[in-house]
Amino acid sequence: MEHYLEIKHIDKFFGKKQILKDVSLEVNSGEVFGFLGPNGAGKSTTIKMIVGLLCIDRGEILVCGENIEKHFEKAMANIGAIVENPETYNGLSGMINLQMAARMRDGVTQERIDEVVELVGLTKRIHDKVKKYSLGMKQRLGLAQTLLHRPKVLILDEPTNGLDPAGIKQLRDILKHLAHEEGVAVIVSSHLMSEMELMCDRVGIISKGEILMVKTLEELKSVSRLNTVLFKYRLKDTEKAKEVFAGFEYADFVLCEQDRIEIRVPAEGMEDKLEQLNEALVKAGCGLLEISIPEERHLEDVFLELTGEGGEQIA
Amino acid sequence: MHKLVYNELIKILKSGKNFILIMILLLLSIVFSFAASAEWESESRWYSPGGSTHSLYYDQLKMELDMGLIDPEENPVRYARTRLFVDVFEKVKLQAGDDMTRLIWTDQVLKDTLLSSPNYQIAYYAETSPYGISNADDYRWRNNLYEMGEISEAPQVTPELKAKAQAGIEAAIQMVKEGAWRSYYEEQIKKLDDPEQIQYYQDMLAHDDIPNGGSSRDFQWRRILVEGDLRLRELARYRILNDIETYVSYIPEPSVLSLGMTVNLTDTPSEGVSEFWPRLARSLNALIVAALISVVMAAGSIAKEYSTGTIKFLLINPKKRMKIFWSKYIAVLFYSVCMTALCFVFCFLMTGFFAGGYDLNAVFIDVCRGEVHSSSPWLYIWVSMSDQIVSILISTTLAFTLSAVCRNNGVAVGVGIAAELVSQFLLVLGTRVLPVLTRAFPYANIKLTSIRYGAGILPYQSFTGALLNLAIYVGILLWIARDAFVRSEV
Repeated sequence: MEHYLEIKHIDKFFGKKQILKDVSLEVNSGEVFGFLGPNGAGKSTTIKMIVGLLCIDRGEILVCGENIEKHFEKAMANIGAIVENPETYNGLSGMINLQMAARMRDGVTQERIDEVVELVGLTKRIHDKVKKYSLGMKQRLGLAQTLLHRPKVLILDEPTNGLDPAGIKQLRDILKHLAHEEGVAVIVSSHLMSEMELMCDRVGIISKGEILMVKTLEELKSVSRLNTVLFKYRLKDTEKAKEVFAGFEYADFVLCEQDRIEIRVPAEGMEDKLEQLNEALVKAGCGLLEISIPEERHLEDVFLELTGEGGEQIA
Repeated sequence: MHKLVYNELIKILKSGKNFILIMILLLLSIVFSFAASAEWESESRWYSPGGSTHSLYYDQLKMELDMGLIDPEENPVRYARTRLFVDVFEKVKLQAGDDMTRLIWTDQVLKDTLLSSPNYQIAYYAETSPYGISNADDYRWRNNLYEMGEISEAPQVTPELKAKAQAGIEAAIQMVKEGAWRSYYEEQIKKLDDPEQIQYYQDMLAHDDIPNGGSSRDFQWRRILVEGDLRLRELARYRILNDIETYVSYIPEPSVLSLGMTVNLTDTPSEGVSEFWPRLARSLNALIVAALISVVMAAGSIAKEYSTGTIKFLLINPKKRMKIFWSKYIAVLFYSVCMTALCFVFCFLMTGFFAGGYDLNAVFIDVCRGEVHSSSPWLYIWVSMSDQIVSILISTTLAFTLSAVCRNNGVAVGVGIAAELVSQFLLVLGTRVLPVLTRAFPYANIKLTSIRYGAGILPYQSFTGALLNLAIYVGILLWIARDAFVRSEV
């Protein structure tokens, strides 16, 4: 697997304030990389530095082995990007926008433009002025612009913004296809964790200008501060059940109301412990009605746990 | 690179604003063309189109004649000259056009007369105060001694007198260069009769009251000396007292004295003179609209990209920012040229429409420093347009620079338009207060044609100097703009 994008120890200052601290990342060909972080964490700053909109105060960024500062034109030829919003000339039609984008690159033919328009599903409206487009259509047009020259690195900032569910699925399929079939390195930043979960192969979490971790989705989900699993019980006699659970040290109460009890059980040796607990409940005659299957940990939980920024002030 | 320029042109040409601006240009071209024609057909049609000063002079002389103020017996030469002026004025409808150094007509007979015989010699005017805007400006006329005469009748100035005048002017220039203000006072004292005024200058001398830089008194003494005003007044007085025609002979180098000495002679349609070309020249005042449109577009060129966010789209392409910057500037200039050309075409068509025909075979007669030349009228139009084009270039570059530096469309449009509109006013103010510093002001140098003909509005102006000044300004502005654009963080 080849590193298409390498970010090596970059720092960024706005005035005296340090926005990025020693950020390093690698994105490989053929993967969809999710770039996560709360507002103001430095996601957009990092992306802007990758595409040369901001200068790099320290460190270096390589795109397909080319230094973005020293060989700007060569490096940028491999990148397709939407930064923050899809920026298009609203007074012009979608097609003219694409033709203008094509003129900025080498070797993009009219056939290629038509092909990309077809791919993003804009064929019917491509000759309308962009100001008549919905946000979702602008996203599609923005995506089309970035795909024209078959970039090796595709960077999309909040690409699902404004797309309808069908559009989101379509985008997901396109991105997965590009990564897995055509070997493109796709970098997606988003706040929609559920989306990222479905889309990404690997995620990096950034907070307050620092990369907290970079892991595959599977690795990330298994990471937990408490390392426990949550079980939900429905019982006839919750009082008696509470007494039973109190007898087991490892059973940790989370919730107890009417006919419901939620407990956390350590992930280690979970099955044996569950067996003991259930046996005890039945023996005590608590009237066990239901036990839920442990819920899978969502990316969102991990994200909030790691960044610790559920509703906090922006750093 | 050409693809980038093409992209920029698409952005400009396909924007909705462009259509509205071209419509405005069309509309105002019609208005200007119509106004140029309407003016012609008014009652005072042979008077100066720029104002009434020219006709006032005619009125004054006519009145002098009618009321018998000049006695032909007592003052035969003066009478003859006045008579001639009035006759010529009435006959060929003497007219000061936009550009006082030009005349146009197609009447072959009149032309031949002019070229072959000295009888209808062109009027000369010796300019006593060159601090006016050189084209179609009342100021110039008001301050001119306007002379007209038959050459055969005019006694020639003697070589001694000529040499004396020349030496006097050179001495005056030297005085200013050396800052010899005392000499100026002494000169004044020698010349004046009024004891009060003599006392005034004697006091100044006694108290070492040096004229300060920038004060009106300082301006006065330098002006009078540098421009040879003193000498000319003396000579003018001498001329009037002695009825001697001396003007042609002792006009020194124009760059020093900036003397104009030709007048527009244009006949009315009834006498077969082209009415199309002078009208067209006046219609071309509409070029100011082309200038404003260019400024508006230049101002938006970079600022709009920032305000709409499309700058990000533009900069994340594999093109160096420098290339993008130059493509924008080239596109803006190209657009300015197109607007100027379009304005010209509109004015050309509309003037022909209002004038009732296109007089394409007219001959352009250029009278300059006493010599008559004939050439193409296209040249005449080009000359009257070229200064305007230089002005457009400067204002457009200024707006473009502000667009890159401030990234604010409003500021760039505002300052660009203000520069185009207020510069002339500032210039006149500057020439009166600080003539030497004003020379460094780019708008003082845009009238390249006048400067080349030695009719610059400031002392010591030269064509190369003016060109260099403009080139330096454009260079500095573009350097600042390029730096701001290339370094900007988005």
